[in-house]
Amino acid sequence: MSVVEVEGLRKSFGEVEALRGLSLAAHEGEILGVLGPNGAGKTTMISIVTTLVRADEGTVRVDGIDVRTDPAAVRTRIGLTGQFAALDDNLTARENLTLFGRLLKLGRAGARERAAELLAEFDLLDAADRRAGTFSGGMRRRLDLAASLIGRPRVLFLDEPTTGLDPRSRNSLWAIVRRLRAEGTTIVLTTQYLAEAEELADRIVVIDHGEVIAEGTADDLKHRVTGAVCHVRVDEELMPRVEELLSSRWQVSRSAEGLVVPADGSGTLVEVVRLLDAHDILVEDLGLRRPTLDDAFLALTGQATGS
Amino acid sequence: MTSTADTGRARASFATDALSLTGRHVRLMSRRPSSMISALVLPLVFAGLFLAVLGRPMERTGVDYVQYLVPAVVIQAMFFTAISASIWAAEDASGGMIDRLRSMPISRMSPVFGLLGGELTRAVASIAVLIGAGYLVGFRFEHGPLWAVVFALIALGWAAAGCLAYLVLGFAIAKVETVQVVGGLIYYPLLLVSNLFVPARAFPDWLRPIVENQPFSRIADALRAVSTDTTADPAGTTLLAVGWTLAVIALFAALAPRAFGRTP
Repeated sequence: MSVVEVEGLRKSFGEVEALRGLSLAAHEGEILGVLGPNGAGKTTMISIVTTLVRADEGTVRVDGIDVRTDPAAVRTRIGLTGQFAALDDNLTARENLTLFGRLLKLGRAGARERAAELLAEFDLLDAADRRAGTFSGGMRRRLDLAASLIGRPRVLFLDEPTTGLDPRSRNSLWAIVRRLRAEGTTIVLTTQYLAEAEELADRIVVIDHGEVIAEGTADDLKHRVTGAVCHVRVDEELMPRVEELLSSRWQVSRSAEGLVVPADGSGTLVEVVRLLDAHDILVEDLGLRRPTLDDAFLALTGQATGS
Repeated sequence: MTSTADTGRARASFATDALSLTGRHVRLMSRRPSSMISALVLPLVFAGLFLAVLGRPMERTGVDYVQYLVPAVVIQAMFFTAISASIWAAEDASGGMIDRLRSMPISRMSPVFGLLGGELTRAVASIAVLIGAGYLVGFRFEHGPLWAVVFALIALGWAAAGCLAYLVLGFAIAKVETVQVVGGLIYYPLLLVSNLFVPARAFPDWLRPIVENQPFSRIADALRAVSTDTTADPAGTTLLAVGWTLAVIALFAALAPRAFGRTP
């Protein structure tokens, strides 16, 4: 059953078309990864689904309820962790959570109890009575996430939850997201990091320029790119020159490991070696491999992701 | 999961939501030293400065300057309150707080009223401090306690109108620095081109109609008429002040949902 159904969503801001007929669905109990580069329309989509912004066209249903006709009912079923932490720096962690509990009508005692529960669950008990402004980036994210879970939402929307986090905090947040799914929460997560989508999402929707350009599991998407790729690594100083050289013959992209060109069997490998050798360029690493999700994303959008 | 049972209880209630958010705002202000200083100390500093600079020359022209000045610094403090409201609104709107509140099942306008409630609490404190200090240097309510209450209500009404206007500004602009600049551009001319600190007759002839009729002067007229025993009619000037207050409130109450809903 689909808990979130988005159909034919359109939204323009002045001249800019942020969403151009976007459709997607998140099924009960899954983590849906919405992957796309900056400006793809991820945040606009989240804002519409969470009742913050009205769509120009299209329908959105959350738990079967139309966000346009009954936004108030939708709000009782969702939790939102946006890109900016929704916390008061001069309130303690406990005060922050208690405030949201009061607003969700848990009552004075109920709000306090729920806050204590979440502080324990998110490993924040030691810092419970410190002001949120003194927290590290990772702790702030955890507290912000805890705040969006006070009402035990059926669907949790996470808009780029790990942007700017160090690897350890990121891993601990990932563990929390997995635990929430195990407890039955449906999660819609936007990200510009392939590793994150691959790591967490049961299904991935790739969006670009306000449209869905691919959909499936990480494996499905990888299979979209057939054949192999040839990767080349040279000294950092030589990179621009090598990129230029290779660009004359192939469509080159940069990745974490260096430069990548689509390979047509081992012939491409030999040609790359010859070309670089003819220019006396010393290669640090070179080889053929199967495409990664990164390569799939590049092939689909024509641009690199944030990873 | 117990999800439906728990979230089913969440119902928007204007009074509860606005009260919870007022509590939040008062707590936040009390923990920000700059907020406390601008509410309690800054108005006193201005009062002292104006008294020192203008006190003697004004007394020489026959004006009881302490009686004249207390209403002015009260209005100035209400302006500080409004500016504070706009900055908090811009902070909430530019961070994630407003998005979270708007995605929650709470009364739509309660975040606006939470800020308003907090600022009016602050305004009460400012008025109390200024009147207390005024009493120490000779200010008196010459028409008695009933009119003293009217004095406080006019000031608070004007604070509410100013806060509402500045909240609209804060939510619409949603950038703290810009809000401060725009807020200042409104504040200085309205405060200084008025009869707040010097009588209208001190201004050039061509400017005098503006000075006498602009709303801040009208509020000052009313505060002076209800506090000081002169020829001015307390009831008439009060009615005019109430009219201005209601007009400003009506205008910005109409704009508020738009400014608040527009927040990116």
